Formats: sequence, C-alpha cells, structure tokens
Amino acid sequence: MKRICVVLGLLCVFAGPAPAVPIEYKLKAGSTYTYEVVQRSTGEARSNDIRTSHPAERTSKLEITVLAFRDGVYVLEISCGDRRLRRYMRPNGAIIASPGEAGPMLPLFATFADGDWQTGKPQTTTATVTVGRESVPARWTTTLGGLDGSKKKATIAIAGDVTLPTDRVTRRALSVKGSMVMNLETGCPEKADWTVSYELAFANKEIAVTRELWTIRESTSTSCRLTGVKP
Amino acid sequence: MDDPRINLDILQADGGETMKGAALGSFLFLAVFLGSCIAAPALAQQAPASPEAPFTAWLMNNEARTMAILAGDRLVAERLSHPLGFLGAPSLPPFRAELDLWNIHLQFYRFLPEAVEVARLARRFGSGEFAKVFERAFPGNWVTMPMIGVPTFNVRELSLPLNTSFRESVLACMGIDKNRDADLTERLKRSQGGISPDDRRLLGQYLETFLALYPNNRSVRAIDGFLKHGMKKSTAQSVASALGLNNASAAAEVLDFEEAAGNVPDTGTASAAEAGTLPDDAFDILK
Repeated sequence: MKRICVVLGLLCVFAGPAPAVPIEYKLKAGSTYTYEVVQRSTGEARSNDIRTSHPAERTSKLEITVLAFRDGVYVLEISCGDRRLRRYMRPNGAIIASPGEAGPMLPLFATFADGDWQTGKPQTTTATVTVGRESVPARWTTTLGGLDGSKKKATIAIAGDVTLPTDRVTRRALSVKGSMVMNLETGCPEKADWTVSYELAFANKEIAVTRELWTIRESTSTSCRLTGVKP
Repeated sequence: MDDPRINLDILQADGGETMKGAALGSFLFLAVFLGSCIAAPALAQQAPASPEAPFTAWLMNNEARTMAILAGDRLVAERLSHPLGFLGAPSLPPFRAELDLWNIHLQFYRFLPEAVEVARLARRFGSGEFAKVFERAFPGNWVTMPMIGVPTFNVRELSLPLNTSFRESVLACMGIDKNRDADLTERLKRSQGGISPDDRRLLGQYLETFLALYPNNRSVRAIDGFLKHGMKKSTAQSVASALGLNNASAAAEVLDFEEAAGNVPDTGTASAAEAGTLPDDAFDILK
C-alpha cells in the first residue's frame, strides 16, 4: 500500500498539475486571415404523416483583416462575399463595437475567460435575450478540452443554450454545440465547427390528451478552416 | 349523437327555405323566389359565417401562433448562430419548412368552401323536393292548361320552349351553372384535384382533432361526415334531374345525402360536457 502511495506521489510530482493556459486572440496587425466556411442547414416540418425536409449547403471564403491593434482592441475588417463588417474586438473575443450592425441584432458572442484555463473546467458567460415580450437567460459555456502534443493548440468545446418559454401547447428548444482549435502561438482559431439546433413542437391540449399538430426542426452547422494568413 | 337533419340544415345557409314551399304551390314558389331575389343584396351584407369557418379559424389561429413563435425564435437563433465574433460569416438560414404545411393548408382553405357549396347543392337539389316544386311551377304546364283539347293546338310545341326558358332563367338567377353543377360528384373531385391522398388524410386528422376539442360543433361534424362518406350516386342523379339534364325521376329519389351524413360516426374523444368552446370571435388569436 505504501509503495502504491509513493508511486502516485512521484507521478503527481513529475506530471505536474493539469495544464493551465491563457486563451486569447493574438492577432497580427496588418495580416489577413482567410478561412473556408462550409455551412449546411436543414429545415424539417412534420404533421401527422406529412414530413418535409429541405437541406441546403454553401461554401464561402471569409477574410479577416486586422486593421489595427490599439488600447487592447483589435479593429477587424471582415468580408465574406458581398458582406463587409467592421468589428472592434478585445483579445478575449468580446465585440465592443460593430458600427455596421444594429445593436439589438448583434449576435451574442462567446468570450474567453481571463486568466489560465484548466482542462475540463467549464467557463460560463450569461446574457439576456428578448423573446417576444419576455427576456430569457442565454448562456455560453466554453471548456478547454485539452492541448495537443506540442502544447501549441488548444481544443475548446463551445455550448450555448437559451431557455425558451414553453407552455401547455408549445415545446421549444434551442441549443448550440461545437468546438474550436485555437493555435496558441499564432493566437487565431485554426478551425471551428458549431451546430445550432432548434425545435418547436406545437400541440393542442384536450382535457387529458395532448394532440400534436406539427413539429418544426431546424439545424444549421458551420465549419470554418483556416486556409492562409497573409503576410 | 346529433340529429343528421340538423347537421345538414347548418350547411344550408341560404336559399334552402324555398324547398319547403312544395305544399304552397307553384305561384307561391315564384313569389318566394322573386322575393328572395330582391332581398338577396340585403342578405349578402349580413352573410352568416360559413359552416367550415370554425375549423378554418382554428387552423389559422394555430398557424398564426406558430408563425409568431417561429419569427421570435428565429431572431434568437440568429443571435446565437455566431459564437465567435472573429469569424463573422453570414449565416445560412434554414428553409422555412413550415411553409410546406401552410401550402397544404392553403389547399384546404380553397377546398372546404367548395365542398360545403357542393354539400349545400346536394342538400337543396338532391332530395327531389326541388324538382317537384320546379315541375309544378313550369309555365308551360299551366299556361297551356286551358287550351288542352283544342284540336289544332299543339300543347307540347308551346310548353317545351316555355319550360326550358323558365328553367334556364331561374337556374341562372340562382347562380347555378349547369355545366359546373350538373355532376356534383365530379365537381367535388375537381375541387380536391390538387390535394394528394396524404394531404387529404391530414385534413381528416385535423378535423378529427378539431372535433375532439369541440365535439359540439355540428356544422364541422357534418362537413367531416360529408367528406368521409360523400354523396350517393342517386343524389348526384337527382341534382342532374333537377337541373333538367336527364330524364331520371327526381321525385323517386330518396334523401341519400342526408342518410349518408346521418351515418357520421361519433369521433369525439372528449365528453361533450367537458368540451371546449370556441371563443366568440374565433379569429381573435389573442384570446
């Protein structure tokens, strides 16, 4: 028994604690980061025996030019097809300004927590979104999955959910799941994948029986791959 | 179990009262007919709700609620579709699959009023009562009556065009198109031509759900029965006879349509005592 304790103790000493790394963007001003973005979406409707499904797919090129870095803020010029955005981003991923986008419609972005990340320890950020006349909580959870052998790339799991209101005739669920690989040396994501899933089940309620009328399901997956950095 | 006659009377929103004038004779029929023609514009302003309206309102309300929920939820979904502000690619919104359902429902909204109209015509003309009254009112019959027996007078030569002209004028005034309405079975088939068997089954399931929620709604139950059982061939023949398109004896036909609708099975699953009631304004989705 003593031998086992000694062996375990030595292992702890040599292996050290779980990896603790800071995760943040370290972009180079003047560089352009190019990604290939593949998006797939599916819309499904079901009512009794009727089922319809409409899949769609699109591949596009996303270019992000770092115009400047000043006072801890990156100024990004993001272009994808005809769309051009100017975003002001902190190293933790928080967007502090986006002049071309209406404030209420600005996406709810996940941000990286400050300080060192422990493997497997989830970092949660919360916000409030408005659904109809109600405000409901939304949550992003990011978890460091681990580092690769060279300890240069970190895999981070991303999960988001919103507690949509439900009642006796509607059931709704909206969630996001994905992951990204962050290159800790270059300070930019090498790849990122996420899927947004939504479901609405609409029913009519009798005294004791719920009669489902129809179900709408939607799913959108996005896959980004870094294809080049210039210069 | 609802009285099938009452069910069918609900389908008869206007004009049906003229059928009950058989006992009053031909002249009374004409008077009632002319009176109804004069009163028609006034009645049109206060048109009663169609028998299918409670069902379509229920379906539309459910659609509207779903549309509202989806519109709000999609905004939220869009806000969560870009977890990384750095990767600002535009999203690929999924196809709005519910439009497929709404398109199917659109066919129902077009088909149901037509089916109700067919049912009304079948009710009005298919019993044979109308044909009997019609025959009594033929001017050719009573105009030529005093001249019957006059040696050189050909009764048939005068009465036939008179009767034909009278029939065509009256039917035209009543909005009856011989080409369209002579074969009601065919008209019913035509009206549901674009509805696939699957969609037709969906309509039946919706009606079943509606009747489970509102088992006391007799008009929709009558429509459901009519759609399930349709018309008997003899009813369609009676209609054709009433419109003067064949030589079949309309008076000999029985009330097949009424019998068919009378055999509607009771599909209500909720007890009538506990059944829900439609709001006063069925189109008010905020209730």
